[in-house]
Amino acid sequence: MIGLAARDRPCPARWLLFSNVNTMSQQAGYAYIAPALGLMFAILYFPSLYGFYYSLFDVQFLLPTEFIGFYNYTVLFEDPEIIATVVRSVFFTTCAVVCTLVLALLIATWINSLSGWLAVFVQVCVIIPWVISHVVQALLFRWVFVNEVGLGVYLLDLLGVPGFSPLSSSTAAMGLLIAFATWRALGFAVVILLSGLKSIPRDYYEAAWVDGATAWQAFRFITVPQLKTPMVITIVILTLSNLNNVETPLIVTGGGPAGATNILPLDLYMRAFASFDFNSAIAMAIGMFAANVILVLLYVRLAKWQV
Amino acid sequence: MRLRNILTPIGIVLLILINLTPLVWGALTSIKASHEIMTYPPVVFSFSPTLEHYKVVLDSDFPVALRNTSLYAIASVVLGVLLASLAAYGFDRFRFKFRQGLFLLVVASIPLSIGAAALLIPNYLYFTYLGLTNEWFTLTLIYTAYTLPMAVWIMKGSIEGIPRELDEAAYVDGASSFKIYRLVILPLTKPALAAAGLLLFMHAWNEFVAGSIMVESPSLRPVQVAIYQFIGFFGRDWGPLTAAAMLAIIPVLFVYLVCSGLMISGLTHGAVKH
Repeated sequence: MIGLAARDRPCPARWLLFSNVNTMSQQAGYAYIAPALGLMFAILYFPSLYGFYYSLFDVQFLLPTEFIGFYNYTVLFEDPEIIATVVRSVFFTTCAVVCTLVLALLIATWINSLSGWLAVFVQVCVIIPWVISHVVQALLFRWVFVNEVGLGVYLLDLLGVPGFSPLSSSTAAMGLLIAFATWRALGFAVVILLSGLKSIPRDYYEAAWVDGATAWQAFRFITVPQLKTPMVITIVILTLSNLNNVETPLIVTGGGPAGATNILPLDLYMRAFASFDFNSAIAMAIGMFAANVILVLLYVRLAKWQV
Repeated sequence: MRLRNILTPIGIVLLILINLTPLVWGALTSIKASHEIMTYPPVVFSFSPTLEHYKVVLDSDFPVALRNTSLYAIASVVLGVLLASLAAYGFDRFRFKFRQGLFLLVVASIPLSIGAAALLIPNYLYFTYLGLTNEWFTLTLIYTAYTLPMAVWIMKGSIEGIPRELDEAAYVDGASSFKIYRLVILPLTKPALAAAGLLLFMHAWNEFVAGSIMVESPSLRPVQVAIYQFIGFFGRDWGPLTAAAMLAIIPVLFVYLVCSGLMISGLTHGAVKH
């Protein structure tokens, strides 16, 4: 028993210098992280490697049959629709991320200038849409805007846009999708940017004030540079989220009209689970995974992680 | 200064209006009679409230979906908080080979999990191959794995803040490392445990894509998938649809409003470290 107890003792601070030779402590460390990393390997990493292996085969009835190299990828790239879908997705993501970021920056700056309970109250309200599931958000958005008796349609009518019917015009449908994506993620972006704003020392602004800087100059030369990291992290997360979110196009517009809002995640979902074309779906999933990894690397570079 | 006094309330009202209109409108729709729902221009307040749509929803198999999701979410919180706190303790208090590399993998998985669509097809094929789809534990494992990286990071940040002298004092008294975890670390990291648990709960409750493909049996169907299927089933009958949506968001809204402070602290952790 004594031996066992000594085995998994954590190393006190003064041992840390010698920790590389302390194999007892090593084993205990592995034991503590093993369950979590085991689950992550089993569900996040291993299937991705397996998926890549799968993508090199002709998949029939969910099983790999014949090795065909990169043929699935070739077929996918020769699909006449795929370039249009990629362009559409990039357009959608860029617009949604820019809109969300600009609005979130304005709102966060504003909340930061409020005081006490009011700031908390506004912040709580801004985040509410974000805590609701994508399915319900999209459903409610659809009820308000994609419906001839919708409240949003009526309000737009009052504002001078009669007969708003997003599914009859590709521009309106894409606009609605971008508006939805902005509304959906705004709360998240505000929270991240607000906590970044709060970490900027007040002295900077006071010094600028003493030197006679205008509010715009203070924003341009203090807030923006100081906020760079949280802003880029927000951009990375929003881009990832918009490029991968299936529910948004699936429920808000259903990809219509005539494929005008058919973006990558919806295309992927439909290929696999509506057309059961797993050959092109797996190639597409691996392609999207590679794009995600690039964004992830950017995130890892920026997030201040250390152990 | 005076301009500001006028602008602030206007800003607040506008923001809340735009932000919460779809939600409030959905709630109002769910308690209107069917013929009042389809009137144009829409009736905002003068209608006689009714619970008929809620009755329709509760008589369907929607309560089963609510029960399933509650169980998935609770299991995911328990499993996730346990695994995350153990792993964070291991990463913070022990020194071992590949520690940096493995922790980097955890951090990288935080945003990777957002790219669920790309992960899901490989995941689906892999789980089908292993025969793990359509089981009672399938969704709990997936939900936990997706939020686990974030939970580990939150826990790690909290454990860093506990002075090592406390560990050493317990160690000198003869406590094993697990005893230190249980009696020193866990009680002192309660807020972080709650924040991690909250994110696990939210994710498990709100997830749709995995739920829609990994289980087929109606008795295992999660609530978001049930709502999605209602869209096909009720079509343009917005009463039951909005009633189901409201039933599905009440638990999340309740949890969020009770612990919004914790939620915000958990969220910001991944982006800007304090």
